[in-house]
Amino acid sequence: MGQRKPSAETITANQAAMMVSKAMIGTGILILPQSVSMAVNTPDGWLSVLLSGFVALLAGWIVGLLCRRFPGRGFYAYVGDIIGRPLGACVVVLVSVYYLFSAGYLLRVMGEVTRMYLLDKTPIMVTMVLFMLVANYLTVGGINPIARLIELFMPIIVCILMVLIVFSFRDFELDNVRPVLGEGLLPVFQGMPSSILSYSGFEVLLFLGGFMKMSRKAVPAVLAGIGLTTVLYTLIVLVTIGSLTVEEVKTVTWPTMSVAMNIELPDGFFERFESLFTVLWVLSMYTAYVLYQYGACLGAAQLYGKDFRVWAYVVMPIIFAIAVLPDNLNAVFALGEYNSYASLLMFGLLPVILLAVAAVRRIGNEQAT
Amino acid sequence: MTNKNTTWAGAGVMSNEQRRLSEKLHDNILAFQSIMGQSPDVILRKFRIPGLNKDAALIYIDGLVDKQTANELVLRPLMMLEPAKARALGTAGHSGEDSKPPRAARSRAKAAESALVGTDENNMTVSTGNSQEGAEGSGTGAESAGSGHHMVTSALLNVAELKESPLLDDCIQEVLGGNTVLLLEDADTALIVGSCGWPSRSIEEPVSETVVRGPREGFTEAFRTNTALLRRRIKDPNLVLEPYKLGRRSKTDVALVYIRGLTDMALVEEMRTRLARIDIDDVMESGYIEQLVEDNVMSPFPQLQTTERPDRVAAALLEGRIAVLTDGTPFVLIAPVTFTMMLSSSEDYYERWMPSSLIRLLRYAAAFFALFLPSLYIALISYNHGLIPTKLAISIAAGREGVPFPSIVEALIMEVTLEILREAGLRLPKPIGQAVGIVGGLVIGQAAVQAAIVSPIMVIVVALTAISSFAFPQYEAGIAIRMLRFGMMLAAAVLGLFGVILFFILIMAHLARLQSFGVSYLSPVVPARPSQWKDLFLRFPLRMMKQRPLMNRPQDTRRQK
Repeated sequence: MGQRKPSAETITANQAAMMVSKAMIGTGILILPQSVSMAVNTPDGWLSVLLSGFVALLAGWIVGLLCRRFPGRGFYAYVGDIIGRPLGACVVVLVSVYYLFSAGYLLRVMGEVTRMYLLDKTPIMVTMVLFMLVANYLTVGGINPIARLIELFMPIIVCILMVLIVFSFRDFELDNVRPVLGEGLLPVFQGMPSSILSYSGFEVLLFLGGFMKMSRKAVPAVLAGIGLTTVLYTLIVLVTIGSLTVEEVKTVTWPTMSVAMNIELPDGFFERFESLFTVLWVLSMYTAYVLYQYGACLGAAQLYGKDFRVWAYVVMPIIFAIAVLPDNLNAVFALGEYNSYASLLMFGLLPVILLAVAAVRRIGNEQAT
Repeated sequence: MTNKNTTWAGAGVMSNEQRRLSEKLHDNILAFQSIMGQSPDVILRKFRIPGLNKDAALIYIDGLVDKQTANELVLRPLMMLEPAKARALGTAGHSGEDSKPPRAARSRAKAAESALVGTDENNMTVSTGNSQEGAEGSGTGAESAGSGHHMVTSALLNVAELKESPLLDDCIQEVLGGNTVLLLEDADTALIVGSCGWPSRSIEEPVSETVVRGPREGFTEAFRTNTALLRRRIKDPNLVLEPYKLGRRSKTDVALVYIRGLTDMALVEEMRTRLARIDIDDVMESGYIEQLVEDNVMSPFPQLQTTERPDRVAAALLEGRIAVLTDGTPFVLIAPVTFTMMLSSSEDYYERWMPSSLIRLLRYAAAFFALFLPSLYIALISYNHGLIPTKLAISIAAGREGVPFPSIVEALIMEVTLEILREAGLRLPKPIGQAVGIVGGLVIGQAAVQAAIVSPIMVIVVALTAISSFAFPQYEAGIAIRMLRFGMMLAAAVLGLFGVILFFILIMAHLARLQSFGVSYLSPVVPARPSQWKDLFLRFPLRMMKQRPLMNRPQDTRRQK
């Protein structure tokens, strides 16, 4: 039978905000305390993260403005209008490739974390392939199921993080985060490049904007999403440094996991909170991965005109190849870093350029901006 | 069986070529006989109407008609008709053919009268008077050829349901539906008398959905009884029953029910097109319709709600949903349905809000246990011992000492045993069913543990799972969870907790994709509309629930000022 009534492909502002936030909180939160502490070298890493959050808000605001200028149309559709078809096609390819790499990186990190804390004997390929298949099932469902699932999972994910933060307050020592600004503002600024990287992901609004019922809510949505992420990031970094000390954070691979490891519930009820945290964190990785895969498929579908469902199956082996490419964990993190730099370049600069060109050429909805 | 009934059924269900009746009574009778055959339950009674001096024939199926209607209200007044009265009824145009009724016929009619019920003359006159009034009302409508004869006859028949049809197939359909067809000499139309009446079960308490507080009556197999049960609850002229006849051979009566001005017409239209698409030779139960109109055949979750409770259907209609009544089954379909509806009972609204809310939360907990408990046991025992508190881990390990199987085999043995017991208890006659319970209790409980086939903690897990899966107010939802439980157990056995979470994500992704008649299966949880969360995990006080659920897109959103 299968003849369902096609519901309009629209998402609410609420869903858009959660998806923006979700695309950011994927893997970053697991390694952010370490990378920031390495760069800052003082307990002020959380200040870098907070400040970077404001920079991200600025970037997000520009992306929001761009969305509002082209209501009902996705980034892939209007980029060609702004800078011409050939150049636009190049941008679409770049963005799609970026999403492929993001998805591959996330997949690999998921596999590594699972191997580390859950299934040490199961081959990493098995977990990755199964994860990918389950994700693909949602991706081919289209934007509405993705939005619904993220809306459903987002509160759970925030709850997990809050539980982690609240429970680790037992180990939290104020001395560990003191002195605040002991060496001035310079270390804080030194930490900003690496912390800004973890904010990549808000650019999903570029293609989400086309689905939004009310595009004038694009700016509030992206700001809310980035704001939520900023708060969570800052708290996590603060708690991590506060309970582990800067020196220790710099040495561990997965600092957030180490915090979870230290958590002990009364009467030894959960001796291994980190396993539970990993299990629940799969929810978070899943939702982020689906967004990346969907972003890649949508770009490819825009270029070649086929249904994005076809592309979902096409990109699966590519993502898998990218995921197994790095030999070791260091190579994985290097991949993640390159990825973030690419994101910074593309989504820090590109929206500004596009917005400027659109304003000069008077394309799109002038009143909206 | 109203006139409207057949016009609706005409859409694609009837054969396209419709045979007409002839003017010759003899030809018509032959046609009937050739089509209906010589089955002994088909009654064809030829008789003569003395008042009109015409031959007539009465056709019905024994067992499907109320014989009292057929004999007393149709046969008797016609056979007792006297020429004078026939003229008085205004058939002057046909008076030329009038002649004295044969004595034989009259005495035969007398005999029939006394043999049947023996009504007195007084009663007879009163009823004729009644029908005369009725004839004046109905006579204006009947202007087609041959209706002149029927004006007389219809004036005499003391029945409420009466119509005329020139089509042979139509008449046959009506006869098969339990009505009586009256053929008349020189008339190319037949008179169809509503005389359905067959023995049916009385209204009883629904077996599959019991409540402590709330009405105790349930739907029955009789279509008319069911529609009446609905009408009694919603005395609104806008309650629409759209009749269908589904099944090329079974010609099952089906009604699409909604409330005009309240229900979203797009939803009604969607159901109409899906019903019209059904082309099957029999519709034995509403389950046939359910399976032929549902959105996703591959889903373990039911996409239409089935219920035996009229109050539940009425409540659903007032929420802006639609119902499908099917003849021959007490189960009524309701669409659309969402996951949260599967965990609510009609009693939730009859009890006060606090107990209702708590019990509803309890059901969510039960759903969690029914789905996750055995798989969590497997995952924790086989992969992630670290998550079990140390003391408990030690006692579990002690209990599992001597159990030769891995935890998945242990769990499968117990779960399958339990499912078999449940199935056996369901199919057996009730008195023996209890014996199954005793055997099951012994097998599951003591013996399996003493034989060291399963550990005591496994018994607790299975028991809790079983009890939890009984707590579903909707049987179908319980089955869905039961099926998924086994998938979850296998996932846990292969990948531990990672498998459990992956399978959980898969279920949620499926639910996020699933739609029931254009309504997301996860509504109203997501898309999030907090104003719609008053009837979700908690059932808010009725005074606060002033809106209908918006996910059904009702035309009239307020239910309370």
